[in-house]
Amino acid sequence: MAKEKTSKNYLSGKEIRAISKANAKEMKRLEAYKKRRCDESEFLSQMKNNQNILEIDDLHTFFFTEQGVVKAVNGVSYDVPKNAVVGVVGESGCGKSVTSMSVMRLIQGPTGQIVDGSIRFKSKEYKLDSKGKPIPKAGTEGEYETEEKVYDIAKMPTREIHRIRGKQVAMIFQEPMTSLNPVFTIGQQLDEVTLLHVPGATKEMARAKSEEMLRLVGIIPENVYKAFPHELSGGMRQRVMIAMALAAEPRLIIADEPTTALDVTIQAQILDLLQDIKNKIDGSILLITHDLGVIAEMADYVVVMYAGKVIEKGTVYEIFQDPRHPYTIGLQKSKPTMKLDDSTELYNIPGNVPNPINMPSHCYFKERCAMCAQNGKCSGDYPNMVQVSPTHFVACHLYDEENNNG
Amino acid sequence: MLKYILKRLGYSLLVLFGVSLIIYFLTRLMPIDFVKNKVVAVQTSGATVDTEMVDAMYEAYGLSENAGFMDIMKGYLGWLGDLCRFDLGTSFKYSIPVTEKIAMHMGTSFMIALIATIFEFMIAIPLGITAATHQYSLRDYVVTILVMIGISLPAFFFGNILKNWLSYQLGWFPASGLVDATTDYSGIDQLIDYGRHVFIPILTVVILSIGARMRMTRTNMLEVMNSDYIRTARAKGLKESVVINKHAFRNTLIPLVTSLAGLLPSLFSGAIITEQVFDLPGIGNIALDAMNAGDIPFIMGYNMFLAVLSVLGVLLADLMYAIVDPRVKLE
Repeated sequence: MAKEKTSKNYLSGKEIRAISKANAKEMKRLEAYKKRRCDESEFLSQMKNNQNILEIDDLHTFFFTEQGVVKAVNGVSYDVPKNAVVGVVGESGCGKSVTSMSVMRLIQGPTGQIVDGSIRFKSKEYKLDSKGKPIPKAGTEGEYETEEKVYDIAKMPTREIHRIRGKQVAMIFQEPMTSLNPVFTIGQQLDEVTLLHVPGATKEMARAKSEEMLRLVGIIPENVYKAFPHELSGGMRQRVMIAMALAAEPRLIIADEPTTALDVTIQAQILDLLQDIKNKIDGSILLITHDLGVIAEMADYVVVMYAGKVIEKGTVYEIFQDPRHPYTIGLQKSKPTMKLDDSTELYNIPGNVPNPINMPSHCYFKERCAMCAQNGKCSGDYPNMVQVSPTHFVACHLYDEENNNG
Repeated sequence: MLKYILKRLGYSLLVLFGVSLIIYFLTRLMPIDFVKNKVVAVQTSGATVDTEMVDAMYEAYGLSENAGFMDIMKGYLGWLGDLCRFDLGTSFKYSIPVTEKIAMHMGTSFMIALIATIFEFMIAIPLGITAATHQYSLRDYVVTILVMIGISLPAFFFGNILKNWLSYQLGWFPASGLVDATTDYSGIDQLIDYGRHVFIPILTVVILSIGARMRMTRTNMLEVMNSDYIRTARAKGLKESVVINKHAFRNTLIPLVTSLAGLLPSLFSGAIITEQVFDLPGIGNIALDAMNAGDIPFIMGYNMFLAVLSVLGVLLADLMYAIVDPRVKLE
């Protein structure tokens, strides 16, 4: 018994060597795949639904650690429709940030790698002539012909990724305090975006654009443009981050817990700002958070993730009024409300997330689930996604029969 | 800013006073007696020395045979009094003013150290950056291993290996000294001759010092490359080369520039061991001889010179910090 416990919690030298050998081989292959030179046709793709601008399809992002392979994102699929806000919720470490980082291809290599799946993104970019210069639109000033292309971001080589980053998809990070470069002024960092993405941009144009963006996020540019990041408060820095993300007018904004580091009064302002801006630039937002209140306020669609998998997705009404998965139900119950009297304790879901290295083959939530089916199905295979309404999907054995009957 | 500098200079005077007190006492407590050495030298040459002469010598040099605390204190105050009149005294061993002797030999050491430092930074920084940006790759391991070899080799050992190889076996460069004694060069030939003599010493110093600097650059660069603002820079769509050379490098520079200011004393101190190995008339070599002879005015003068440079170097480092890092404000 004691011996068994040892082998479960500690790795022998032999095992560690075997793991690192297997990891090194896999990482080398994936790194080479990212570094390859290839024709554009290899990473061009087609959308399944033309209404979407982002389709994440069976994405697998793994981390090759010394203890084994951590399957941080293990077969995640969800879509972001045009002009919509999609909220992704889940507890810490469930893979919601890793999914969004995969979309930006910001996973830190060589340990972190996109192993499988596709991320289809519909980009709207400048049409280029044979010399690689954008073609000006007839009869307009400073506007160019555009075309839509669908890229599979997961298959793009690293050298091509600048087509997407910043210009098409922009990201707002969760750490405003450390996400700005301390040695450059706010102005320098904002101007960089315009200079990079707008063809023929001059310094004056970039500055005008940066100041416009700062005004848009509610900052008076005169004082801030020449300031260094350390001279601003956290809320101001997050606004600057948002301004920076918006400066190139991206089609998709990924906001990775944009309000987590901020206090509640600023949170509301930042959320209002995001909502306003979404309407102004006519883009979509992928909002990642563990705050259900924020999701209810902002999102049109909700994706619930647990231990690297999507367990439920649907419209915000479906998820909040008709949650199906026991985990989603538990999440709703563990929200603090003002109605509770003092004697009632706040509900919490018992137990812990399983070890990400040795995931069980059955439902990952089984050990913590209060509603396990009696027929022993829950100890069987991992449940498939079941459709409960045109927009509502859930991965739970409780609803298997419903599907079979319908 | 000016107020800050003046305040710091004021503190520096206090520090220097403490330093001089400690060095003077340590020097006087060394088990070396200049007069005794001289007496022994005279006696071995055959002459006899009587006690009166010895006493007179002690008197003349301001020393005494079994110096007590008060004797040393008296000697220190005397030295301090001279210093206040900008007089570092006359060297016992070399019989010329200490300042003159230091000025005479500092040039050689300074030239060697300056050239070596320039090469050290020019080689170590790019190596450190490539090692960091290609972490855990073959390149990283090769650079790291070579550099570790460099750090681990002692100067007297590696210097002699290079001397044996480049000078005795290949005969490309002269083995020691600073000038060719057999030929009287002038003009450009003299400069070439000089360069040929200092080549191996500089090579030794550069190879041995690259390691630490490269490790420092690599560590800083790795830390910066993993920071959130580098992720932001990548997310903007900047090319990896711009991310590394603009956003990351500017941040890596902060500790590097600061360490540059800290090098100030080492530029003038001379490389004692390397100068010994190659028999160069640098300040390090001279200082070691003075130390062995118990030449108190020279030891004091040399050490105080370095102490002043160290204090200035630290002040300079702080000022540099304020220039390269906008977050630092001096008050």
